[in-house]
Amino acid sequence: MVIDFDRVKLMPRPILCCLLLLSVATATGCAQTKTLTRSEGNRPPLAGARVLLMPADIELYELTVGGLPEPKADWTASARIHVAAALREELTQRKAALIFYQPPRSDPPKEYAHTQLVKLHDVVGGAILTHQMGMGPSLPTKEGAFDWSLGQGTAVLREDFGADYGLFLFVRDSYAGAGRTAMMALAAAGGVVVPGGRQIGFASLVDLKSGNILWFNWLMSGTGDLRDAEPARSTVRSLLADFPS
Amino acid sequence: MPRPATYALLLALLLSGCATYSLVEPKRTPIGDLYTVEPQIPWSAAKSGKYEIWTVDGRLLQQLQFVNGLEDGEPMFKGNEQYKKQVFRKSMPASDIMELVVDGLASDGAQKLATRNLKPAPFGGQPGFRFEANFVTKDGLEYEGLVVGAIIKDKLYLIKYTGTRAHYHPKHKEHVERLIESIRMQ
Amino acid sequence: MKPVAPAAALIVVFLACASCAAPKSSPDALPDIKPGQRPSLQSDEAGLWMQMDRVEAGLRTSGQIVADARLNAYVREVVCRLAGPYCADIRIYIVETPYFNASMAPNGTMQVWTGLLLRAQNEAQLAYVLGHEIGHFQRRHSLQIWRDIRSKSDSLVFFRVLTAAAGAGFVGDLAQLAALASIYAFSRDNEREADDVGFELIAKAGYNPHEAARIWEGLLKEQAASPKGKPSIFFATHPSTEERIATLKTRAQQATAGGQPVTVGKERLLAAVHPFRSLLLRDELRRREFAETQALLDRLFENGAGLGELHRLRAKQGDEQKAVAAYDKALEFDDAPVDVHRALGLLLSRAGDKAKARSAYERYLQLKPDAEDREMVRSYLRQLE
Repeated sequence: MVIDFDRVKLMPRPILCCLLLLSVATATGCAQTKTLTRSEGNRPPLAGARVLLMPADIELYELTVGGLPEPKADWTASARIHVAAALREELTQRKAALIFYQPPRSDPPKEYAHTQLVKLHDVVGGAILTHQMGMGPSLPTKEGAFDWSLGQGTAVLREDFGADYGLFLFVRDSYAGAGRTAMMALAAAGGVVVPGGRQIGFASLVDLKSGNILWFNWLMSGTGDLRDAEPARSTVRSLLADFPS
Repeated sequence: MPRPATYALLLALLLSGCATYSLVEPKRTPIGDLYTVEPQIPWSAAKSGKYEIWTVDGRLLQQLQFVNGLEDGEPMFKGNEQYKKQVFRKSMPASDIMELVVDGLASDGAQKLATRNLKPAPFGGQPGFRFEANFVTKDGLEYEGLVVGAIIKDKLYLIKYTGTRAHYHPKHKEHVERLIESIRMQ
Repeated sequence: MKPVAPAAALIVVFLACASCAAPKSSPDALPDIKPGQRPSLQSDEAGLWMQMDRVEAGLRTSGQIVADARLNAYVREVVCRLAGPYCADIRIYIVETPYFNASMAPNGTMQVWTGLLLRAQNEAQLAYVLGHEIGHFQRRHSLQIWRDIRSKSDSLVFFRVLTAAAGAGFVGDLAQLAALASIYAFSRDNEREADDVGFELIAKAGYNPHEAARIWEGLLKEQAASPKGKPSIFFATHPSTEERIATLKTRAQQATAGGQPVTVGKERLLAAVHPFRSLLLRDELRRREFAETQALLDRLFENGAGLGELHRLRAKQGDEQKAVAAYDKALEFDDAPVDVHRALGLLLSRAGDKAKARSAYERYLQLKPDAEDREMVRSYLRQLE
């Protein structure tokens, strides 16, 4: 930057803020998952279905001694691979196929339409977290129902990828480094509580024909590890608790 | 007022104990002291002084905002320093009120604002105006807006309907048009 | 049992050691980044790049981006003239916001704010600011600052844990202030270094080096006009504007002592920005900082562009007449926006001059028959009858 500036320039994505707030508000490290599903109609089976994995927003951090989250490119790269593999396994078990989203770079208007849907999903996800999952006031017009949608615009994803469902994933994960862990031990000896790493995430499944969100799940825990294949599989299993089968 | 859900906004929600929404049933309902409307469907409503916000799915998805009786010299919206500079004057023609509304949206982070079809239109039988708008948030999501208003006895009354262009604005646009047609002075 | 005694001893050590919470030295000096260089995946630098890659993906589809091909090509041309072999590593995003700034992320994302494009009087001034940002990139300042913050917060947390264990809370705040002050001081050193690099780059590219100080002088005039107070220098991330002007003036005198020819590029910049002038002025006026905007307009535009709008929006005593006068003057030039006629119509109508108001509205409708507000303007005409 060339001069001082006191405005917030980088607007965090809507969901991130909700989840960060939740992490601030909650103290424990217990894994909590809360699933809400569409209450009307039958939950369609996934057998034989093609599921489009939208660009998963995953980032891993190491907590420095001082408590700062340092972004780790190598851990994140591993996590993306492990999560994709774990998802593929989970879906294969349910006899569904996983397709990875690729932006249609050669067709800018099409790419634009896709990104609008992803951005809309961000805001809808935020509304779900705010109004239906207790992060904010409830809405009388949404009580007792789970009827969220991205609208019929999702048909373009259905056509462009031959997919029946879209799967959205968001994970932020921090791990206490060696220094932080030592600090925590030192602090505990002195009777002071110093927080360790946190795992926050959500997953949602969208019916691409109607645009309706069939299933939405969020996860917050003080354990879990995406850096290696086996613990990543277990995290993904937690994240997909009550996933349609 | 559509804006990206910034950390500050949500923090404020959390700290303020959150707005509480009550149910508006689809029957004739008073809005402020001046008029009544007949909503076609149930809405969730939150009120604060001269402002009322109705939504079905959440205010960032779609919202119907009522401004009831803003007086000469009053800022358009409560809030930070920027809003305090956007002041209503009873001598304002519709073009200037439209500019005030648009500047309010811009202060809230709306980008690439464009307005369409500013024209005279009755507001519950009184002479008023209406216009449409579209904009993009800083995050890049497209929104649509419809605004109707009038200056009655030197005070400003507005109804502003905004929502995401995809799905949420169209979802209740017809309901909003019917609601506007149903305005009756008390 | 709390280990009170050792904690107390350490507190004494910390208090006595003035530089413990505010270490003087910067981390080991980093070599400049090389063109095309990418950090190894395990490094902290790669982590910063990864974050900025995500921010850049958002930026690419942000509502604030100005995508105009010609304007982007022009800015890119200036950047590449300065950056030489680093040109391929830099991706430019023009962001619509009425504030003067530009920024450079460690992964090569450069943001150029439209408030800067409005305020640059010529290409040399724009080039200096862009050169400053290239300096941050070349010297890897973001990484240096991250490491600095990281090491200082590391020592700070030990201090705070120990003092919390010993029950002495208040001392933590002093240490935090000292650490922050030291972080800001380090940041100011980086900014001075970037100023140097920016200066070198424009001098090498043949621009008039005196223009570097001039853009700051313009900004100072704007800030001086504002009733707002100035931020505390103690926690400023940048050196004072006055200091920067003094440094750059001295360097410019030394650099041009030989009398070589230099370019300023006034016409090139104005031509590139002109299609956006109405948009940039409207964004600037929307800030409603009329004193600052007036200083800016006086500096930039001899033909009084934007003054009509300023007076109309400010709407204080006497502003309506000033607005009418300014609009009348603007109409003497070919490039007056059509909306001036509508604005005149509304003002003249309020002033009671029906005939002039009527011809202003009619002229507006004549020039813009498919105006989005034509129905409303026709109703204004009806009201005049």
